[in-house]
Amino acid sequence: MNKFYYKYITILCFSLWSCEDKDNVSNLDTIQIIGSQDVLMPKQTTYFYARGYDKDGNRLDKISVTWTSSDGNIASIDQEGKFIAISKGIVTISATSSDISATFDVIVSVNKKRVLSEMFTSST
Amino acid sequence: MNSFTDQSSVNSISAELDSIWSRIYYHVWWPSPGNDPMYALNPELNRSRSDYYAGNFTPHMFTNGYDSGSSLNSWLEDPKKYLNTVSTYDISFQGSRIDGRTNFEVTTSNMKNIDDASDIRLFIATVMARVIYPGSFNGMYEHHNVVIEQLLGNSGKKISYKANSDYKEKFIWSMPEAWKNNPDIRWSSGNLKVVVWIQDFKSKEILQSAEFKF
Repeated sequence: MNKFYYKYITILCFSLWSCEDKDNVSNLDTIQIIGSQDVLMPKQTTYFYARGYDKDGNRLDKISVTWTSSDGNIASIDQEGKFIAISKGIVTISATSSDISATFDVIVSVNKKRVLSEMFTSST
Repeated sequence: MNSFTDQSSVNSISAELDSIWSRIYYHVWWPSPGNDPMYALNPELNRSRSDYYAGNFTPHMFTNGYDSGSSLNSWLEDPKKYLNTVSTYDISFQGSRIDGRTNFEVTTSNMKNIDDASDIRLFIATVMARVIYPGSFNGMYEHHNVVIEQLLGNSGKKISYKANSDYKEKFIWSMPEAWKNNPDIRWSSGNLKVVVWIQDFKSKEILQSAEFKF
């Protein structure tokens, strides 16, 4: 009896998990690429996410996209959106689903940022 | 004020941070102009920069354009945010000095085009690393990194950076006569520095900076 219930509970869970998976959405109109950084140094990593919208601007929950980098010598991006900076330059990443795509420029820089502190003081 | 001259403060700055961190000082007029020659030698410069940040108390620090207030802890902690960060801007320098006379060129560039609506400005300042002021009213006789002059004007020079184009500024600059002739302060030409920064004039964020010695 218990084994019977476990079997159906397992199937139910798997079904729910499958429904959560990303998929191509038929009413997809535009894609927006979301990221927290657009300037990185070599060896740094970050994640990019794709957000889909229908033609009325309504956000679509989960879309499946193919990620590509315009220059693998500058940076790579895997199918989870994980971006790895490799060498100096500007790279365009693309997220594509069916015929819809979006692009985002990322800069890989080797110019370390310096800090300037300006102090206002008085000797009176 | 010059808390960075206190040995315990200096010791708390890591070599890594110190290598990327420039500090410059504007002498202002609170609580009154008094006799501070480092203010009196160039009041317009000091007032202009203070007005830009809308500061009205001392000591008051801004770190890469952001308010770090009057707390020594903030002054020491805020710069650490920039460790292991990069900029799209690059600044380089070449030049020479004979006594108080200098001849130098500053080159800046950006990896990308800036928006037409942006207001990105280049600042180039001559700075005296160490000034002795024996007549100081508040008992602080040794002062550091005093800004002498802004060579591109007190509000900097607007530059519409195009990707990977070099922008050069050349100077033949000598220590001002007013500094040379002022009997109240002592300094050495060997302590002269040039500090350069690129600032988003609207947001106040400093996008890159550099410091050069001769």
